Amino acid sequence: MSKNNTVFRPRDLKELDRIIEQNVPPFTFVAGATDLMVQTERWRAAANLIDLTSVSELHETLGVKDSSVRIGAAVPYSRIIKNSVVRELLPILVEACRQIGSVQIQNRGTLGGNIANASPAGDSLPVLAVLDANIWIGPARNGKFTIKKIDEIMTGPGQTILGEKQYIAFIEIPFHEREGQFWAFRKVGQRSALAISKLNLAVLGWLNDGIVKDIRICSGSVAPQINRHRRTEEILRDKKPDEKLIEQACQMIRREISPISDIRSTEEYRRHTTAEVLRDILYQTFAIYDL
Amino acid sequence: MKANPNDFRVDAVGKLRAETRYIRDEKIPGLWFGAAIRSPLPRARIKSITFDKNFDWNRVTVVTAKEIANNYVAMLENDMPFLAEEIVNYAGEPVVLIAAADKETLREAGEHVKVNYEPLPYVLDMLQSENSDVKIFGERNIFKEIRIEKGNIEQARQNAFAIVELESETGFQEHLYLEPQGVVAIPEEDRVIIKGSMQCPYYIKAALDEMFGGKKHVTVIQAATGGAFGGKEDFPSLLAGHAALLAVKSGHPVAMFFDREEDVRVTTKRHPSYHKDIAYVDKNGRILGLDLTIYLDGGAYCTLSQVVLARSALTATGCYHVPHVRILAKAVATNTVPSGAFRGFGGPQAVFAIEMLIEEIAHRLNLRPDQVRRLNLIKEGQSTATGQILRYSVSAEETFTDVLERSDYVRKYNTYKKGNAPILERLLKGVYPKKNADDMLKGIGLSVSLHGAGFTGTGENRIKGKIRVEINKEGMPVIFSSQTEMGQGEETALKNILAKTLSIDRELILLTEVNTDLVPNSGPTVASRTTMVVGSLLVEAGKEIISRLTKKLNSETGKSFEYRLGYFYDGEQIISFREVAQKYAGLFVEKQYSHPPVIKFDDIRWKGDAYPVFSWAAAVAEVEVDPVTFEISVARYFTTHEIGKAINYDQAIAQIQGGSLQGIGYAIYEKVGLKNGYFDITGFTDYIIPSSADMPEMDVKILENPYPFGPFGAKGLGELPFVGAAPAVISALWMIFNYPFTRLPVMPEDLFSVVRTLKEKGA
Ligand SMILES: Cc1cc2nc3c(=O)[nH]c(=O)nc-3n(C[C@H](O)[C@H](O)[C@H](O)COP(=O)(O)OP(=O)(O)OC[C@H]3O[C@@H](n4cnc5c(N)ncnc54)[C@H](O)[C@@H]3O)c2cc1C
Repeated sequence: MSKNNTVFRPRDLKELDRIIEQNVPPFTFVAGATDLMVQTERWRAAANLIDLTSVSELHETLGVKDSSVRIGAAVPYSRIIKNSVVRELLPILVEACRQIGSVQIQNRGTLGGNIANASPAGDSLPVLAVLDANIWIGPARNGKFTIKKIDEIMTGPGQTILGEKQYIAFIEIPFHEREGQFWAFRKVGQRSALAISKLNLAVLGWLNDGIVKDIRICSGSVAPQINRHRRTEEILRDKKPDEKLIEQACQMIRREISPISDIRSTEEYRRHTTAEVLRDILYQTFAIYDL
Repeated sequence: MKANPNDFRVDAVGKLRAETRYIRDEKIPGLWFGAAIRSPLPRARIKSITFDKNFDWNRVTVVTAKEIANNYVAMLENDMPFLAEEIVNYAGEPVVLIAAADKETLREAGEHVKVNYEPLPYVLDMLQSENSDVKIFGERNIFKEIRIEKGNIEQARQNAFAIVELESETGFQEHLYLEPQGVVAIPEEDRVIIKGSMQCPYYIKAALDEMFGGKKHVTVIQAATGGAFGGKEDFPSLLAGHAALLAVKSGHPVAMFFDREEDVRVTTKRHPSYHKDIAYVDKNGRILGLDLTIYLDGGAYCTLSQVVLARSALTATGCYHVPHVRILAKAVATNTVPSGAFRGFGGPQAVFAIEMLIEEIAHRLNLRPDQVRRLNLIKEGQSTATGQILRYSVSAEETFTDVLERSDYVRKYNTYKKGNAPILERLLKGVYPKKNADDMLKGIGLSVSLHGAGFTGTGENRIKGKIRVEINKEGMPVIFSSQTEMGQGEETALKNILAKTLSIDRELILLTEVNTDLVPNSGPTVASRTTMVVGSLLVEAGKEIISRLTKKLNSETGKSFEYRLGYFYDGEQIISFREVAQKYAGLFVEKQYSHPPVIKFDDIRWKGDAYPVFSWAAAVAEVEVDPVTFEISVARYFTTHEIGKAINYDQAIAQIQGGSLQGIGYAIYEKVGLKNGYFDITGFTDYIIPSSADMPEMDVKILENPYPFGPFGAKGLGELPFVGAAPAVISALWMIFNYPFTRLPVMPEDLFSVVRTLKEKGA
């Protein structure tokens, strides 16, 4: 940290908004700091630090309603994992949170940080995409937050649409029909814990009589952005998946992603494995084995 | 043998209570911070260095090569400068040093130095180095060449039923000790004090004595050291030189503290290797002859490459008896960061190569890999490649048999093969591989390994390690040695050995601070030598203390006391060690090491006893590969180690577990690439070592087969557990895929490519 930076610790949203109003950007919002602390250069350059964990609404909110849950952007993963309603109604989210870093990271890291950090490898992002989460962006104007979807927020690696004075306030996730629901979140990394994904895949769908009523598929770490694979979904929707159809879906997802080779993996491996993980998920869901 | 809760690590309490002070914890008044400006290019001519006039240079201290009279780090070849003067030879090589009162000023100053480089051609490939026009070291870029011959390789060739050839390679490995490099230099009028994280204080002293040309008295003090693995053997000499130059010029204490990124980018790595091996075998798989060619990549400067190469060459025939041998080994120079010491010191590369060659023999002759190994294991009375006859403490067969039985290797080998067959068949047909959701490819692999304990060849006789034990006023024996604790348990081992020799409580024994003004040079803490070599001196010293105390007591009292398990006894009286010792406070004993005369080595012809003794290990690794993602994990790991005698059982088990896991990391987790001559890693995020979640179920057994010259029979242990782990894991991959994996590390991406190749071949 440089010597002349200011740390703000607003107690609530009102104070937060006032601080933003009365000070000159850039601001560095700090939640769990699990990304920030390792980005030493940014950390050092940061002038106005705003601690979001002191903002009670952002740090405390885990509000369950009938049809949705609203999670404060600065609520640590471990609280999400421990919430019994979320565990029951949003198991795919819990699974993603559990696979982030390690217990220590889960005790500090937040969904808001994962989203704002905008890494294509962020593990919660594909899950938030298939859950069709609403991201509430503050400050609220006349009590109204700006609401966006995940794929609208992230514009590229490390890039978001958030303005200098904007922050993520809440993540609102609708509860979905549970009848016929199937889901999977898979993460492929170089070790069992504390690994940045080489690729990940989230699948959420609904079956009726063996027919796919709806399906949402989103990958991570295999494209500069987080996008659902709508053409792959299209192949499966309203169909009764068999090996041939799944093969078509796998072919399609290979085309819908645009992985690169970097220090963590190769383009070819990522493309191939994303498709095979999708196949694995679908075969297991539909109990299709080479009988 | 079993665990003993009272035999806990003597350094554990301070560490658990966070009382142990590492160099960054020390409060040093007026401390300045130093840093190096480094070359961004793998090879270049320094055309000019300019200091921007807009910066006030009075605020900082700057050192360039021109000011250093003896600009070389005294090591084996003295080829590495403290600062490059004309030519830089690797990306990351230090060119300018700066120190300032605070880090902000330091950074600012750094931004105002401009070094003008003229890029020069460079060579990064160790196989191209020898014939390259780029000259880094001498005419041929060879730091050392070793030839070892035994018998007549031609004869083996003529009698061979099969000729089995294999090329294999291993990559860089980063130590990733928990505490990054850190050294402080404190200037005094005629003296410089070096304090820091290090393995070998006397190496630093020798390098700095040379650098100052004797004009300064150099005192080196080891601070608590948070891990080293060989990474703090040679490198700190360079870093201490930097700190000392800045401290003397500025008149302030100066710290050279690396952050993690600088540490992984510019410090030494394990030597990459290339092997081209030929085995001549009979139809049963018995090895008649081995013709081995070894290359080690030494990087831009020699550091310890010559000795690393020697260990590689001397370990190259593994745990096998081979009548005819020819070895040609070369350590070559490339424009990469100098390679340096790392646990195993050339041994892991050599054992990987020979173990994979054995796999290939089994593959070619359609034998199980354990059959070929068993047939060739070396036995007492047989000789190694240098003609060293193994006369005692030989346990290749015992460890091997034990680990095969305990792991149920043969049964599992067959069961897993059967289980894998349909999964593999589908995989290679290009169809979905699983029949059940949890289908996994299961492999079981094995290795036998050895590690020569103590320095290679005549090293011990050259170093002549010396210790002193002195009785203090309280009647407590104080050990003076230059051995360092770095988390491996050295303090515990030395205290245990002396306590056991004197039959007194360990708590009665003290260790002096490792400070070159206080302790004699007992040699560096490397080469698995501390327990065995320095420990043996302590046993001798302890015995002498007893006999001298007895003599003194008897001549003073006119009686005839004898020593019995901690007490002096004369029939009438019984007096504790401490009481007697207190009377003769100040009594001291010095001991100096040389090999027992029966151990002889000729390091010109490479004949004789390369090591006084070897420690032995055998391992079995059970590996699982996800047929969808090719993720690899080690589910279970069995190993049997024969180490002469476990001085501290728990500590020995911990060493074996940790070393094995580090070796597993070398096999399937840890990868360092080069990008424009620079390592492509920055720290824990992208250099993936196994975490506790990747720790296999470990089943460790220790066998004891005493070494007649070791303390209570003990041999070296520190490095051995590392050596056999990678070949055991990779052997399991051979078993699963029936494919020769010859390059470390093996990543899921590699398995993916292999399966694709096999698919194409099948099609
Ligand atoms: C050891 C380790 C392991 C990790 N493993 C994983 C993993 O497996 N998967 C994974 O996805 N990530 C992983 N991460 C990355 C990190 O933990 C996650 O991205 C985490 O969700 C970040 O949350 P945070 O609260 O700590 O963010 P912070 O570090 O506090 O912030 C991250 C960024 O977001 C901004 N920010 C934070 N909150 C807001 C907000 N409400 N509004 C606007 N901007 C905001 C910050 O200014 C900063 O730019 C790991 C990190 C570490 C250190």
